[in-house]
Amino acid sequence: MQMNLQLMTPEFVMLGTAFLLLILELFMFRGSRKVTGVIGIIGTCIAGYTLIGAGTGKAVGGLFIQDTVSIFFKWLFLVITVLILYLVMMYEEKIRNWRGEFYVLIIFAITGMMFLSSITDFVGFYVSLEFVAVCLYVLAAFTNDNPLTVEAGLKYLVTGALASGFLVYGISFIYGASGATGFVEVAQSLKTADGNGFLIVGITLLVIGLTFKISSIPFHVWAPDVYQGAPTPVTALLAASSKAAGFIVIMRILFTGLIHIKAEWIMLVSLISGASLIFGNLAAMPQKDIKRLIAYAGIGSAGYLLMAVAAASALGAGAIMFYLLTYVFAILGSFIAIVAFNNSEGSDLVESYAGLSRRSPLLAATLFIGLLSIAGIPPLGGFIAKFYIIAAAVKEGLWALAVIGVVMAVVAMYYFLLVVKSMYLRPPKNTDPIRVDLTTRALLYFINAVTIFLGVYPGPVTDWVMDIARVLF
Amino acid sequence: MEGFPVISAIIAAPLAAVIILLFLKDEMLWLVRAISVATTSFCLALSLYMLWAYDKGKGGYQFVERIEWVKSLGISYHVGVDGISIAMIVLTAFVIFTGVFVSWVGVKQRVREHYIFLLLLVAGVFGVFASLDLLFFYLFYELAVIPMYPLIGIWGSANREYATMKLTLYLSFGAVFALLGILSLYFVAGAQSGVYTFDMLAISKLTLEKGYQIKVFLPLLFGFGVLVPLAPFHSWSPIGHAAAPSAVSMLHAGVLMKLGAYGILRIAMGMLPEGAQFWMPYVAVLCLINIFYGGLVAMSRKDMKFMIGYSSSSHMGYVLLGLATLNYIGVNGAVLLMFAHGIMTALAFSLIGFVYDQSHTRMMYDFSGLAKKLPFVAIAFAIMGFASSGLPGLANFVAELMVFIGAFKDYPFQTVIAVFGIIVTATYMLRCLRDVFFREPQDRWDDLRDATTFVERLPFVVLIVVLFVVGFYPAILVDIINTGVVPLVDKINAVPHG
Repeated sequence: MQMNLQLMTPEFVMLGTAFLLLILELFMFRGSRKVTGVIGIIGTCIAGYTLIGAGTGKAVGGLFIQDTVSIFFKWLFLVITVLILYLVMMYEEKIRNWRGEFYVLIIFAITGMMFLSSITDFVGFYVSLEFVAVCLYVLAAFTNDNPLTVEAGLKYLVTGALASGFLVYGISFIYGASGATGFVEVAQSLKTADGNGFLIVGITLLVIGLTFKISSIPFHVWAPDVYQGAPTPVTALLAASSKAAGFIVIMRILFTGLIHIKAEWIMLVSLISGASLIFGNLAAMPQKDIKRLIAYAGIGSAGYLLMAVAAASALGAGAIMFYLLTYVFAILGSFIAIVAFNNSEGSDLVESYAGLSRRSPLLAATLFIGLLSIAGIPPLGGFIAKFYIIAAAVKEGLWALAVIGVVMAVVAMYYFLLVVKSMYLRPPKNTDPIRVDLTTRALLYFINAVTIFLGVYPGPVTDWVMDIARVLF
Repeated sequence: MEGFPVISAIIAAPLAAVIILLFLKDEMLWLVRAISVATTSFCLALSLYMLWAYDKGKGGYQFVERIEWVKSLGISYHVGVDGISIAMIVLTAFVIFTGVFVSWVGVKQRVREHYIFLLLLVAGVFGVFASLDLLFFYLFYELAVIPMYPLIGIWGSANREYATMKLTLYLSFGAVFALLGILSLYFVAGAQSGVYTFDMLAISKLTLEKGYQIKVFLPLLFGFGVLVPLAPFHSWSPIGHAAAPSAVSMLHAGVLMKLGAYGILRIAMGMLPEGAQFWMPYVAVLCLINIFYGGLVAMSRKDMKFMIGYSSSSHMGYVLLGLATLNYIGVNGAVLLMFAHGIMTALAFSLIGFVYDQSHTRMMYDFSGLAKKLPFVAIAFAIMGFASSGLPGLANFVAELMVFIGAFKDYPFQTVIAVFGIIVTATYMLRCLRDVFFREPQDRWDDLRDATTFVERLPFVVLIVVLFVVGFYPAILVDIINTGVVPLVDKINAVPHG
């Protein structure tokens, strides 16, 4: 049995950072934990350093695979970690107790997601998934002095547990039909199998269980309440990385393990995609709270990504990866702006953003760029991503989904423009400028530049992503 | 200027100005305006240079530039102009050049942001008219639409928030359907030729299957038709005109509506000849709704901007009729009319804006006898009204005449009705002129000021001069437009009828 543990170095560095921080926590007094965040960011950067030029291959007897796809996703997760840890440092005042642990749990959760991007086996998949989930359950309910947060935590836990049940049950059916847990072995034994009842039940349960992570129908109900109630950095973590983790898992399972019986799941995924697109976007329209708005919009985004899954092609897989890349930058930029605004004004309501363009042009521009990128408006990165997804759907002849997709893009434009309207068109209630410190400014400039760059000159990035995506097929 | 990237310079100049403006302070009013004027003068000069330097003998696409953008998908930044696009780019350059001066007078608050959005918009418009790549066409198109939202929302007048949302959503809704059509074209053409590309020239070389052409023509016609605006998808347009600040109304009615007609001409008709033969007769019927319904509604409006707004959709009906003829003279007339109407309507909105900024009302019944106080504005308005109702000597006359001559052969019935539309136009234009500028002067308008300074007069003078020059010597444009129209019409008529 080949151990090849060196392939897991980035994960080990992350785990080491987390444990180091836990030990340091013993010796620190009550008060600010910004230093924890800084050490966390340094640890993440070291993990990134070990990822440069990382070899590919299999580790621990084939339970762990490092290929270009997993490396791409690990980069994505590391970028998310840095930004989220920075976000926590901005948010810290609002956490009363166990500030240090808050940072540590985030690093643990991300480590779990890094493992998820390297899974090759249903068992490893389930263990990593629960590792992530337990961290997120705690994080969602962390500031337990706020009843909304407690409600959010409980909702997340209960629906999460239910979804887990679906997953295990589904996996057991698939194991029953194929006699294997490794994705490659499952694929091999299903090559000749026709879609018998067991298998269809198993796939259905599995796909439905997976929708929890990506907050799409039918396991979407937790999203609005948790996004609104959870501490904002956790919301950002759920929005950015939970979705990315969910989709790498979906790609691994559906594109590797179950590709030979894709006829059985394309219909199901298309249905879920269409329903999420319609529901998420329509329900986002009347929202007053920006975090709830983003939650519903996130359900819609899951719908777009599932459309690319339903395309079941290399173009679709590349589109998913590029979409996630643009989504991460757009959503984290927006959340940094939201936290900065909340620190100053104490409100997340869309109407309280009135006149923001006068009070802080940078925050307003960041939300403008971030939200319109998610809405898919050129020349921002989100447009290219949506374009690829629609193109993948059109190529496979999924016309109904493509039409729903473009119509819902206009709906998305409507509710994001409502935020823009508040920020740019309405007069401010008080005209005091909102102060943003220098590091945050620099970070926001960087994030906006990335979003614009990905839209204006996407060629090299999309070509690179499409190259990676071919590994899956 | 051999080898100088003229088109890229025209597109990039406004974008560069935007970046400079971003780093200026709100208080630097003069600098902000000076940069905007310099940029738009530069664009105007380059566009006139293109008009002069375009080799009519050679025809085809000239000043072509091409850079690979996303190689794997066959997308490239590919720009070039033929006679039709040059006419449109010159139009855009004139309208934005005068628009900057109109905003100089009219926009008093958040001036820097106003120019930023205005220049962004115009970069998009230039890009659309010069694009030879389908995806870039769409990208530039959206770049032209999105700045409309803040432009109308912030600096607009009554009902602006509703109007701007409606306008943005309608235009995007049309655009995404056009995008679906474009994507379908991309995959079908790619499958046929083996080379997947968004290059318009490459795709238009292919002969696609007839049934497919007819099918895919529809989303393109609908998508661009919303922008024209083709009845019954026109309701965003008058309300958007009315709410927008003067310079934006000018660009909007003068140029943006032309984007739709240009899209139909260049993409739908240019690439799908059999689709055009199948669908354009239906357009010839729908455009009557534009002409007549738009004209009658314009007659009933009391708000001058609404009147011009409906009149614009009425005039765009003539453009569509011209396109539907599918023959040289009709299509030539349509393109010339797009140009003439763009200049004329820009003049109308700048004049109304000039009066409105002082009087804060646009209702015709509020005014009378303004000619005494505002002789210059009154004369300019009269010229605009004459141009609009097709008086000989002004650009619109030549264009409308060409449309009617072209249309008479295939659509005699529609032509006769359309000619009566001119009477409707003359009715409301002359009535507006009488009610607002003539009759007894009122005391309440004693403190209105005429356009006296250079900055105030310049846009009116420039636009009027253009109307007269093209009216007396249409060959200056028609000769060049014709070089673009001939190959396009030849291609459509090369396929057997029926």
